Amino acid sequence: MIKTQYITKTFRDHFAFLIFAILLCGGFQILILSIFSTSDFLKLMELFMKQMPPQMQYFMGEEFIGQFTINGIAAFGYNHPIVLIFFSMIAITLPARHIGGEIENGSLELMLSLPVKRQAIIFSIWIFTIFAMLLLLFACWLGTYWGLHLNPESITLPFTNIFKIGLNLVVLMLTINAYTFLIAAYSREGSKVALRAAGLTLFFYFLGYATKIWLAIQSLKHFTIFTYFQPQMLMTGQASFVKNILVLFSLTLVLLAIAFRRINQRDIPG
Amino acid sequence: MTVLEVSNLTKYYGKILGVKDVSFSVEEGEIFGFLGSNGAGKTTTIRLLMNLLRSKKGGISFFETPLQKKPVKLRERIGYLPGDFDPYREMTGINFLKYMAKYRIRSPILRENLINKLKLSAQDISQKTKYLSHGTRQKLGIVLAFEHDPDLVILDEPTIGLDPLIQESFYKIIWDFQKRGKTIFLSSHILPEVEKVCHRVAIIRKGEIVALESIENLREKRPRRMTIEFKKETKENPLDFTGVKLLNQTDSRFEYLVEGDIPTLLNELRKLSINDIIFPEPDLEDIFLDYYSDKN
Repeated sequence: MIKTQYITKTFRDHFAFLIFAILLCGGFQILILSIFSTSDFLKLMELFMKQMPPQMQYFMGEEFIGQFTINGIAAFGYNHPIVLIFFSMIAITLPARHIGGEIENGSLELMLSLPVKRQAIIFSIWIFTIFAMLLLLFACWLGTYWGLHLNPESITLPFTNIFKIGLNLVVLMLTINAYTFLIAAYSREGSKVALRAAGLTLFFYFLGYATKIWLAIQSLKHFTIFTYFQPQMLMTGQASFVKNILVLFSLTLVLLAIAFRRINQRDIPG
Repeated sequence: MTVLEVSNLTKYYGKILGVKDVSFSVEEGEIFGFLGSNGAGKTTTIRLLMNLLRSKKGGISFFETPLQKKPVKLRERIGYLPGDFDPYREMTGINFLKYMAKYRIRSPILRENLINKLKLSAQDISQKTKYLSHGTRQKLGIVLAFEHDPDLVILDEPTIGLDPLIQESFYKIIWDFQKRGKTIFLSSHILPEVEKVCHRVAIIRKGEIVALESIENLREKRPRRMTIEFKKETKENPLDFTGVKLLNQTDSRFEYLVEGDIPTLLNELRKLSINDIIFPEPDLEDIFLDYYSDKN
């Protein structure tokens, strides 16, 4: 079912980007943890907050201050826009380029004229996506570990929670990847697939953010995938890891099943 | 053995007709031409044969096995060159061929031979394909289609971008291949090319097969356009006999469609006072004109 030749080629195609993303995401974890573990940022932020007008203090809230504990910072490292952007790029680029893009430039037509099943190609792209995300996740975990150990004083972190946050992040990204597959299944241009998937991801992200700060639309939080990924809450045990994974993974499977079926039945190019 | 059998193949793109009730068969060891102008439905038919497009009506069998039964296994025996062949641009020519060969069980036993025959230099195949000319990329496509010695090769407009010398080498490859009992399905919009290399031809127009003929029959039937400029201006047609139809007239220039016997025509022409005569190779539109006038 899996075409190792295809996976190897895809790995070569994205090698430079993967190395860059690994260094950046891993390095980012090291950087923020080493900075925060060597300075008393919590006290600094409390002082900073006290300088602010009362309305602003309320707006930023305790959650914001909570982020400046070492646990909060470690969790924040997995929720920072830089990290989310790099993971999303992998989730979106692979189906957009290897399905939409290759339909557009005729490479998929050529590939499917060989004795290869369509499902094998699609499944190989998906397997490579998981592999690439796990590589990035390991880089993040390693970064967190090193970031803490750069400090001569030993600081302990609940690594089980870091493990859960990382897995939750990958499953969230697999959901983004699944709807990109679905968009690609109905498209014939790689750039349009990428744009639509990126637009939808941004919409979900801002909807998730809006439901946190705007009480009137709080009920909409169930309609954004980002509700099922709250690293700070996972770190403090306020969110259910199992529930997040179940919701996101079920959604991923349904989206992928529809996308794979559609790609298998569609015209190429068409 | 019937290598390819197509029956009542129909494909619509939404409401737009791709092909309708296309039926033909190709026998083992045959070079079969699929002739039609741009947009006639050649590529649609070929993509249906390659199982890239899905049709709701009609059947396709390769080597007497329905395509839907064993599509992957059947493709092992087929070589394919798409109309707009574009290899992976970041790969070198040779790496591209090696990469594609990994998907086949049959090894690329003809590769070296084809590279030599098509005059692909070591420099050509060691460059990234994005730096190659269209013609050189097309040569790579031909190597890819033939290198594993398939039993049937499907070629969509294979000579586009090839210079005349390489076209000749390509025709030799086809003839050698056919001599070894292999089958070739070749689409083209160039009538002389099909006449030169094929045994039989199907002519497709607006998605429908309008003729299925041997090349001998086609040659006999084919009409030719002829333009004559007479020395004196005349209103009456000076060449009025069976087998020659008047199409257009401006002053002393008369355009005819010639379907009859050429020696008889030459005898008639001798009697006339002619300034100039243009008698080009027949083109597809003349043939369509002929078939359509027969139909109507």
